[in-house]
Amino acid sequence: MSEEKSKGKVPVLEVIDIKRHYTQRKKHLTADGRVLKHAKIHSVDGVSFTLNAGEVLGVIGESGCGKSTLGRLLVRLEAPTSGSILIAGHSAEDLIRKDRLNFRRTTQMIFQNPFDTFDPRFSIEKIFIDTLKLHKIGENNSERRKIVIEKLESVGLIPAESFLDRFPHELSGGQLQRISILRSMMLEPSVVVADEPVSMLDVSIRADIINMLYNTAKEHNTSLVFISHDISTTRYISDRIAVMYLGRIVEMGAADEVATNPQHPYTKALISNCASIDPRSKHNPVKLPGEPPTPVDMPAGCAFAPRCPMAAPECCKTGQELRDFGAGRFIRCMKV
Amino acid sequence: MRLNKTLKIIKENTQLKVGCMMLVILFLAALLAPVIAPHNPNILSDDMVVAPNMKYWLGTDGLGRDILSMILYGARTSLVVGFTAAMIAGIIGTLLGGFAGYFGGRIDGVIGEMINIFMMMPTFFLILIVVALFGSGLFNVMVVIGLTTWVGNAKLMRAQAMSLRQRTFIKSAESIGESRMAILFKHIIPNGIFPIIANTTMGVAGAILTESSLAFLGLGDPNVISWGQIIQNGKSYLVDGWWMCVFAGLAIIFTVITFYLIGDGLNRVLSPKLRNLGKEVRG
Repeated sequence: MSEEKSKGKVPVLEVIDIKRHYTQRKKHLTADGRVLKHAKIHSVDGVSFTLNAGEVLGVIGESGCGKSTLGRLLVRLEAPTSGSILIAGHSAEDLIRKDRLNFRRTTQMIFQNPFDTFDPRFSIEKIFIDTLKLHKIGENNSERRKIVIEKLESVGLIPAESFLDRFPHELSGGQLQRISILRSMMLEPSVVVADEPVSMLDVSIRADIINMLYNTAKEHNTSLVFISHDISTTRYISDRIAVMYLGRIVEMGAADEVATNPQHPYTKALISNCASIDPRSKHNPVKLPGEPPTPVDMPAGCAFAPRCPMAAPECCKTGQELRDFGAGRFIRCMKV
Repeated sequence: MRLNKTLKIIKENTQLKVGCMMLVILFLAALLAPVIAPHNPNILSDDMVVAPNMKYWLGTDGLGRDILSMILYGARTSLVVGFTAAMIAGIIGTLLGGFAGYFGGRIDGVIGEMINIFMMMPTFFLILIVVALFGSGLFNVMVVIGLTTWVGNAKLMRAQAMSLRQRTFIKSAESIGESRMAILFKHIIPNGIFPIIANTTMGVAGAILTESSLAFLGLGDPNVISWGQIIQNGKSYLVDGWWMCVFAGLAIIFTVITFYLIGDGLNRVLSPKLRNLGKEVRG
């Protein structure tokens, strides 16, 4: 990992302070009884990071912390409210305006639900051929078919011909997710966002799919943004981990560092609640009171302060910056 | 293979089975009208207002035309009007509804208002005005019926598109690089068309009824034989010659029931609960 970083050219992906706010249609009743009209939901609220070629960034956090929205922003399924995303130094907005297909080739997404990733009316062959045709890969359909068969066999979907005529509902989740990864990788993207790619799969095949994703990404030197709420999986696959809370990154650093030596109180609580397979290991989870609030009407100070075991009065007053602690470690807490 | 599955589904659904059989009868009657009609429906004979007998099975009208032959030929008019008008309504409704539901935002706002306006309008009177102004040719009648009855289809398609656009495979198609237009025509419409198919089938019945009503009011195409026209002509003989109105009326009822049965049957077969069955047919 570090040797790739030291090559130190322009990062493949640079995210600068992106925000995505949604306006609520209904009136919002705040905890203290005020009624807000057209309340803003700060789903992603100022996220910045860089990603180098071939690097794997894990994004973890509770449900509703904005990690999936972040993923959708990265592949431009949604436009950010503000902030910018640079791909190899070029603004994603310009890229997509200039050449949409080319942009789509550079960033790809693996979705959570493999059972619904493909049009149920299309056979696997049509799904692949259409994608290849769209991106003008291969001269004619028989050549494209050959490419597809080769790819399918390379990931163990054998015999490939038998898969081509089948429909998505005839395949298992693992097979579909392989096909989904394969289809995305065929476009040779430089960034792939995987939004909880294994959470809907059977536990027995999760490792296979993760390994396949990891290996194909390494093969093409593709950067990976791995969004998950499963800390141990994320630690296993990632070079770096970013922890999100209420639309912001609260801690980011090398995967092992964050997992073994969490600094931010939220990360500490999150990691300590992660089940270990070893029953003898010391295990005393930090209990957090309450639930993560909806990111409407954000408090002035640290967003985590109301639930933080270390919170002091000053935490609620001033906002926290993501501070650089050296060696790629960033923490958003004044107590650290 | 595919045909067998379709037949199986039709057999398993009573409405569809009965409806399809009735539709076959209708089609045969319309197609074979020149062969099976006992008389030329346009020839005025001397046997006027004759009650049903062995020569004129369903009697004759005030001008001596054979009612049975007129009804057989009238089936052609009704089916052509019904299908064309319903198709126009189906296509307009699908396109507008698809655009509104998938693109959302301002497009949805504009189309939504159009839908509201057409829903408020007393459609039949609009048709009356248009036909009175622009003439009552069959073409006019079909187009104007089609142009005024697409609202139901548009609302159905809009709802379908709104729910489909949240599905992963639409997001996946977007992220793979397909244009929004391509997604609308390749994924949204084909996946959301089922309720429109059922609704359009019922629309055929509605269009046939509307055409008959127009003809009954004397606004039908005078150059073609239609059931509504037979009833209009028979109206003045209602006391002495009940058969003129009754048999033409029965033909209308038969046709309307046919399309309602098929529409209802399709609705059941293509409903989400049974969607897999429907998918196999399409697959």
